Amino acid sequence: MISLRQNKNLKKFLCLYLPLIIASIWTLFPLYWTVITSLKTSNQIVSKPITYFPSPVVLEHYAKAWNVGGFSRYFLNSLFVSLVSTLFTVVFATMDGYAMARYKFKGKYLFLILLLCTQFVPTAMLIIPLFVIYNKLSMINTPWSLIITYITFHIPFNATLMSTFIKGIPDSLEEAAMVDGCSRKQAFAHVLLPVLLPGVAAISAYSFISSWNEYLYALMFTTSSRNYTLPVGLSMMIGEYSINYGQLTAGSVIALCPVVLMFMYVQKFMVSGLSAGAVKG
Amino acid sequence: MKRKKLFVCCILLFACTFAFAQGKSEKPTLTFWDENAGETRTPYYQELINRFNSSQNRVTVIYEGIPSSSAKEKYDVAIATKTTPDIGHCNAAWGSNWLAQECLVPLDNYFDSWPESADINKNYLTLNRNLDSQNRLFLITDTVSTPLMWVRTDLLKNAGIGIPRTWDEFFNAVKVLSDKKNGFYGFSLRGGSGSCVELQHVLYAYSGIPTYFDKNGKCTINAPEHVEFLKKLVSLYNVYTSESDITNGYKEMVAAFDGGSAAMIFHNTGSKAEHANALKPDQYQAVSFPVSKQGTYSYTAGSQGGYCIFTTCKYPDEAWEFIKFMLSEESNSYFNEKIGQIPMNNKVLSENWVAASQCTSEALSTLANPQCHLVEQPKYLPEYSKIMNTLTPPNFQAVLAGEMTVEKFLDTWADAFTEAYAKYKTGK
Repeated sequence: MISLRQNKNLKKFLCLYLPLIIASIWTLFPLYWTVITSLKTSNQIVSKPITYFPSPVVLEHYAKAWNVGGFSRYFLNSLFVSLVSTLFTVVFATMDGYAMARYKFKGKYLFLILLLCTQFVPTAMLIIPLFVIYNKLSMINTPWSLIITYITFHIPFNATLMSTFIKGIPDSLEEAAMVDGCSRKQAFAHVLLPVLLPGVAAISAYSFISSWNEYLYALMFTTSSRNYTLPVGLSMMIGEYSINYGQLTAGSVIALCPVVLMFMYVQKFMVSGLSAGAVKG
Repeated sequence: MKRKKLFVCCILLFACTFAFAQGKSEKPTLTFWDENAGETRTPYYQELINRFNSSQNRVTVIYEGIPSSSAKEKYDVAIATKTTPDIGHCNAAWGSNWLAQECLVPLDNYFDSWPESADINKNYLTLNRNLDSQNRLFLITDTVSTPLMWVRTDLLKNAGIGIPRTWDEFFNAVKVLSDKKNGFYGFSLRGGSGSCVELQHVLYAYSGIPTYFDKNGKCTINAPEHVEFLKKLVSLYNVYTSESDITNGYKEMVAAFDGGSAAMIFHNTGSKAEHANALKPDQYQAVSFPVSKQGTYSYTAGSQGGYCIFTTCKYPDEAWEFIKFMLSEESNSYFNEKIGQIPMNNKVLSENWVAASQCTSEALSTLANPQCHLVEQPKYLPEYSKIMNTLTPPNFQAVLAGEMTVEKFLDTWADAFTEAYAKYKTGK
């Protein structure tokens, strides 16, 4: 006879832990496969039977991807574009969100609707008009065409999100600070911003990852390989009649590292930030 | 003090004049886009471009590689925004769209006055001219990958059967080589992306029908011989091929072949580099499609890439010099030897590497056979890409899944091209 406690543990395992284990395997197996493929020799990658552990472990694909495949340049390009666009997105989205949360002005509701309506436009529709504009400004094949595009596309959603975060913070906090002699700017910087950190982390992460992974505009607005970002660089590993699986997977792992590291650092802020925004919005 | 200021101004003026003069005498720069960039081609293009730049002082050519999966879209955006490169290497199937947009420079005058023009393969020049309604030359093919069969000779040897040289032997070999329980199959079918481009090669190879359209302008893809062959091919699916073949693109099909889970595939000489990387020379072999029902070898033109000059180029004469260099015997030989495809400069055909390259010599020997004729695919039709990439592949998957009959599939395909051809003829 199973005791009540054992029965409870069994139910917990079946209803909680088992689904979590299955979901984790489902999610993590492709990552595992990518990593081990990047560590296998070229022959081992395509040979049968399939091997689940690389033997021997080789790092040649990483070295080739970085030195010969151009990933050193692609990585730096992606890092520059993503960091700069994230910085500006956070600054402008926070300012925008603050204005929408704290101020009352004519057309505020209409402005909010228009801001959200920009999200309905498929990005592919805007390639040609944006290309023409950037071309006339001699910005094609520069990182600034990508930075401006990413900032423009990320601000509406992030501003709305930030507005929701700020609404969730009582304005009495700032009023108290202003009563004590702070200006509005000082109240924002010293009182509101520390409380807003989860929200800032959430929109930073979202903006960075979106910029880091973006492919279509990066492909269209850059014309020379020295300005390609990582997603475009990865697609160069796939030719019409050839796929360099080793360098492709090694490049994918290289592309994954900053995002994983960033998530490890900001995850505690992200979870609380996103849930706070969702509930109070 | 005044004298000092005057002296500094003179120096500055001199420096600016010098810099300006230097800028004025710089060589013009031409950009060259490669539509299939990657480690199997880019290094060889860069080597040839370095050789060209070193050999003359008129112009500097810069190489720009584009991922092949998005090359057409990138070119389309560049054409729409008038920011095309000076010289492009592209797939001939894109030619009809581009000609309609009038973005290419006609090359007839350049080509006709070139002393070595007679060395370039005439069959493919004719196909290039047919892209234009007035038969002008806008694209010159430098390399071709011809359709054929790849076989795993080691697996055939283990099974005690020889290389199939007739269609009956092929179907028999597929059945003998398959061991579904252990995950080995005699054949890997391409049911996903690019399926119908490969399919048309083998259909015409089987039937021997010499033209894509009959004299009444009706597409011949749904001829009874094609129906007969396709029924046999489809009957192999999920019995002597893997169930996952229904979504097989190039990558999956080649991976199955190189990994040893499929003994034979239909593809072209372009995948030679992949097989050479994964297998030993005695493990695989390129085999021409068997003789057709009519006793001939009927080959569709295969994948043809070529050079073109865009109208945005400010130095078309210099751009032509580059194209001439790339089509010359030495450059054409170097490039095609390295990438394992068929050279279009006829002088290259007698070189040692051609005879030593099994797949190249196999393809060339069939093409040189008097019983061999090229079936011209209607790449000059603006709807060609749409029909081959959007309309027909999902229908083929429906056939494999048993949701559409072979007859309906081929009739739909034929009707689409017949209609497109009629529109093209009336629009001429």
